[in-house]
Amino acid sequence: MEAEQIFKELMKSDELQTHFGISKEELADASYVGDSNNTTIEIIKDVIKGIANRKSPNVVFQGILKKVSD
Amino acid sequence: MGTFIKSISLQNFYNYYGSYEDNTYTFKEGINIINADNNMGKSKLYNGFLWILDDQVYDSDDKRYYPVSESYNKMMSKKASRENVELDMGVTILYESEGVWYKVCKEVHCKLEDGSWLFFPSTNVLMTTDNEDMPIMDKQKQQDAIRMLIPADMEKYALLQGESMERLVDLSTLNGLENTINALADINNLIRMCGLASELVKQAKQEYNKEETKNRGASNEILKLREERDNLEKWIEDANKKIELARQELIKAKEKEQQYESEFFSSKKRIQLRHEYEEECAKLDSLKREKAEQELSITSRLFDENCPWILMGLGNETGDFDANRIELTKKITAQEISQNPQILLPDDSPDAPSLRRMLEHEHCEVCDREAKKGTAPWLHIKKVLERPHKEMRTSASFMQFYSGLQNATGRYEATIPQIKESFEQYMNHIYDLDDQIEAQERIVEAKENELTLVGIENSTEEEDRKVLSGYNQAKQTISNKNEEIQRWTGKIKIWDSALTKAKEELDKRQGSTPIRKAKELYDNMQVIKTMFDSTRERIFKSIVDNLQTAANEMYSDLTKGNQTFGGTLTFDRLDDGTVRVSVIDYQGEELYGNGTGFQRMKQLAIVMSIISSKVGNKSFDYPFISDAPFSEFSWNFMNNFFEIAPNVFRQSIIMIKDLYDPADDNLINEHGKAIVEQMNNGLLQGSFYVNYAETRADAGNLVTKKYCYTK
Repeated sequence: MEAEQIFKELMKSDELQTHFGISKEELADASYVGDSNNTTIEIIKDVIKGIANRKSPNVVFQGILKKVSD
Repeated sequence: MGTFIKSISLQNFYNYYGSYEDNTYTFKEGINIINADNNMGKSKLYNGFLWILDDQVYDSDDKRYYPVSESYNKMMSKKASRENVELDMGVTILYESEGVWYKVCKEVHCKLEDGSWLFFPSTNVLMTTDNEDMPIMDKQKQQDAIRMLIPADMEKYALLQGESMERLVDLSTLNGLENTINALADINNLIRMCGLASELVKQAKQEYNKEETKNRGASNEILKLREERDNLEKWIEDANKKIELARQELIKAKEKEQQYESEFFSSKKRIQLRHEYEEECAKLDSLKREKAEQELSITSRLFDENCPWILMGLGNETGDFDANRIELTKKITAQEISQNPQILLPDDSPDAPSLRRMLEHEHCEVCDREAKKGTAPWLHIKKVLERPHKEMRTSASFMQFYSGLQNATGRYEATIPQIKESFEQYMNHIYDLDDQIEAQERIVEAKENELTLVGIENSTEEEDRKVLSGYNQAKQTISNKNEEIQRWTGKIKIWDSALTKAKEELDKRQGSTPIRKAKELYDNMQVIKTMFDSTRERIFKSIVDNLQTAANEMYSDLTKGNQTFGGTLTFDRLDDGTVRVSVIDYQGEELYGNGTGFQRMKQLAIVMSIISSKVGNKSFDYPFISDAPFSEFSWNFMNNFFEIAPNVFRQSIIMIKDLYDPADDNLINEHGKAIVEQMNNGLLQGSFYVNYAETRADAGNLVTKKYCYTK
């Protein structure tokens, strides 16, 4: 399954709305390519890309830490 | 992606004596049939494919797979090995995958030296693109090219040996179908992402702990709460690991249960029948022994002290004997009197019993006249009886001998009449025993037939007990592991609750921003991890649902026209995450007792649905290669398969004997001829070969020839 396809499937998760409070419209506009204003969506992309680009968990986490502290 | 096999060629490989050119099968898209009688090379051709793909061959004697390196002797053509001290044995397959042609040749140079064969294997792979041939030298790349023929994940479905269909690895190991579905959906990347998300949660937790530790001003209460939280989390983590371990063992136990289940009831029946058979045999032996004893006892009965059967029918003889004896006595007495008239009472006058009889009967037997009691003749007889007489000489006098004999036989007068009845009773008993023995022999024979029906020749008592023990042990393990999982789950629930409370208390007390931010990240990463897991589960379930739909369509098409309803296939996701395929009836109850044909149909339907499954825009177009998939199938099933197979498989290569007719000039039966006609008329795509032997020989010396009936 392609990374983008996985991303689209993840965007269907209820938790994005119920826990993270992301609107349906924002989810509909979310794209795997390009940047999103939403940190959670970006973290999800980091996880996906981490596997696609064979990054270590530590490297991925550091990237996430940077995003959340910004 | 997909593969098309153009041809397979064999050289001095089992029955396939001669060069590659002598033994080449050329295939088309559609259904390619190699129709042959037993021992005519079907399984050997299948072994050709196995050798190329897996360096293995299937031994139909042992019914198991062997590495080729252990089988070269058996694989070598017997005829070629008798004619040569050096020869080459091999298999070559030509196939196309994604526009690239590959020619794979696995060969062994065989050399006879000092009475033993030496083997020198080699593998050659040639790739052709844009009409340019390129040998592939690197071993790994050779392996990759061979895997283009059929990928490892698909091999268990694309390569089927009919006898092993019921033991398809994937369907008997609960994990197996799960692995295949993962491969089909190509969600291995997603599975890795779930793993990464899990790791990131751990890292977020470490970060959170680090921030907490930085806060040196934490009160004892906070420290205590942290410790409590950390302990609970550790316990929960350990418990989850234990649950995971228990789940793995549960899966293994379920596989064992499945493995033994099919044999369990047969083994149990066999043990019970063996016991019953032994009991019935013991009864039969007892009856036979009783009869033998009765028959042996006849000797003692013939010469029994009180009732000797040898005297049967001689009841009147003692009386006759007595009358004869008296008559003789009279004659002798009269003779002696006439010879010696002086003697009134010769020595051999009537004896005492006779005198007593005369007195009793009041009749003188000497003079043959009446001698009433008290009369002079009677008193004379009495006087003679009571006279003092000389001691009898123990001479062998005639009268004494027969007197003695009469004395001796006198006592049997009462018992001789009973002999007939005694004999009749004896014979009735013998006849009765004969009837009982005959009836018992029938019972024993019936038990033997029952034993044969449950396959007594295939299994010893020890093997059957092992199955029962294995099955029971598996069931016990399943019960234990379920209990263990339940126990730990219960504990986790309690600890979870305590953990939530501890965290809440901690949150109230730990107000610093870095700690809060770190905790928020930790919480969010847990939710993200859950999202990845549930997405994987959702996609997996979607694949399973699609497979179920496709498999039922195949199953329905394969079984149409059959008078029995074969049920509906369900793919159930179990608690342990594995997938179980079962057959249910109209009411949703699990259906048991389907015949072997239906069981194979179920397997074939699942295989076909997996092979033909589409995910997104991808489809799997690998050849379906099967040796004897149709034993236990009726023509109806086979016909249904030939109808739907072209829609499922781009190419199938099937080795069968079900269309063979040795009495026919073309060695094909009516159904086979109909298929050939359809192929030659373009109504059915494919090819039709028949294997035969020019000269009759045993299995080890047979040389297979072939003929292609399609244009």
